[in-house]
Amino acid sequence: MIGHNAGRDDGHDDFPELDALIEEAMNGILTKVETVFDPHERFADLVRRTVGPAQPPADRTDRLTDSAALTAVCDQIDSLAHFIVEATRAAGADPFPGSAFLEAARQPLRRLRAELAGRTATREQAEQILGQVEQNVTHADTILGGGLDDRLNQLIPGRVRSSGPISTQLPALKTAIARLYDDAHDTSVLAPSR
Amino acid sequence: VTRGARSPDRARQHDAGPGGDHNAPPEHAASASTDAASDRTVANVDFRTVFLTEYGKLVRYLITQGASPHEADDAVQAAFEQALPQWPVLTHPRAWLYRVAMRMFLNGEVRLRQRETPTDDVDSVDAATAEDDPLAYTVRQHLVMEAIQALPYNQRQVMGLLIAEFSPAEIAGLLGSTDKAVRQTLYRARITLNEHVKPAWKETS
Repeated sequence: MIGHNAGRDDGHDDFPELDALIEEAMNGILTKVETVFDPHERFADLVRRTVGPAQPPADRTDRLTDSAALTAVCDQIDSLAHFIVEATRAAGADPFPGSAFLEAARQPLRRLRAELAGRTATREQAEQILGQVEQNVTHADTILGGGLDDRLNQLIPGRVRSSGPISTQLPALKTAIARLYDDAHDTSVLAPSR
Repeated sequence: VTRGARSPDRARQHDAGPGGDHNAPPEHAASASTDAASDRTVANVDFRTVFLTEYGKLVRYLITQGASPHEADDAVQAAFEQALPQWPVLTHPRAWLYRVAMRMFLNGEVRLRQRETPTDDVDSVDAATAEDDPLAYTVRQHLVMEAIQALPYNQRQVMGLLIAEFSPAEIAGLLGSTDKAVRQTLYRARITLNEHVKPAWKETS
């Protein structure tokens, strides 16, 4: 990495030991980054967002309604994620108590969306990831003494009016996901999209 | 960091070289129109390769520049999304991505915020679930990252790009500087890092 003879003008590298330390640390960080923000997962999500959901196979036309429902659930997740982004952005440089937990809910939300969009999550896995989202939101609410909805209403009143309070969005999402799996008549994994 | 692999930028056939116009339609735009299907296939494969190769490095780069992990992730996603429709005409896609991702972070939708650290106020809270530090650095990783983040802006920038495996010449092209100036900046950065990182690193052993 740092071996581009990037030291002095004469090209001599005076810091081999430092370079080794930086390389070791940065390699470890890269591994963690790629574990937390899985590039394959991100790529699948980008393709889905830009190209749209894949057409269901011809022999599974009975699942067409599932695809529509899946799209609707992904839209719900996008809306909730955007809601959180707006809230944390509105807080700006003066984050409110619990905002770290609220923001942290976005990561499992994204993962949930990617798993659903890729039809790779079992019902149990989807519920588990959604549980992580709920847990973070609950923590934020706890820190605010149960006043998360009120705080968000102060920060982003327009958004709360259009999307509803977060305390109702999450149960609605949970219900929609449960229905998705119920409708698929499949207790394990949603049918592969391709 | 492995340096043996060929940079995706360099792997592209019509690379105009560092310092060129990264956004101008390159000479191979004509071939894209004459053999659209073939080029599109090549471009798509190339995009995926670059995405999978660079995603983590881009996130890491933005973190070295002061972004939180989530901000970096957001900015990198946005940069790739912006790159996708114009991918076939980007002559230096890798350099373009680093520049755009950085701009997204600095000027765009994501801004460095004072992030709240969960405290002992809520005893029942499991700090791990907060993912305020989802990467959970080791002491040494934290030490190096903090030292880089504490560098002056220009030193931090060139150091981050060097770690991302850009050569000083490429960094100069990307930043509109000269190879000599980049090397001097890197030298100063390393002097500072050497003073701060090495002694502290030894203390952790």
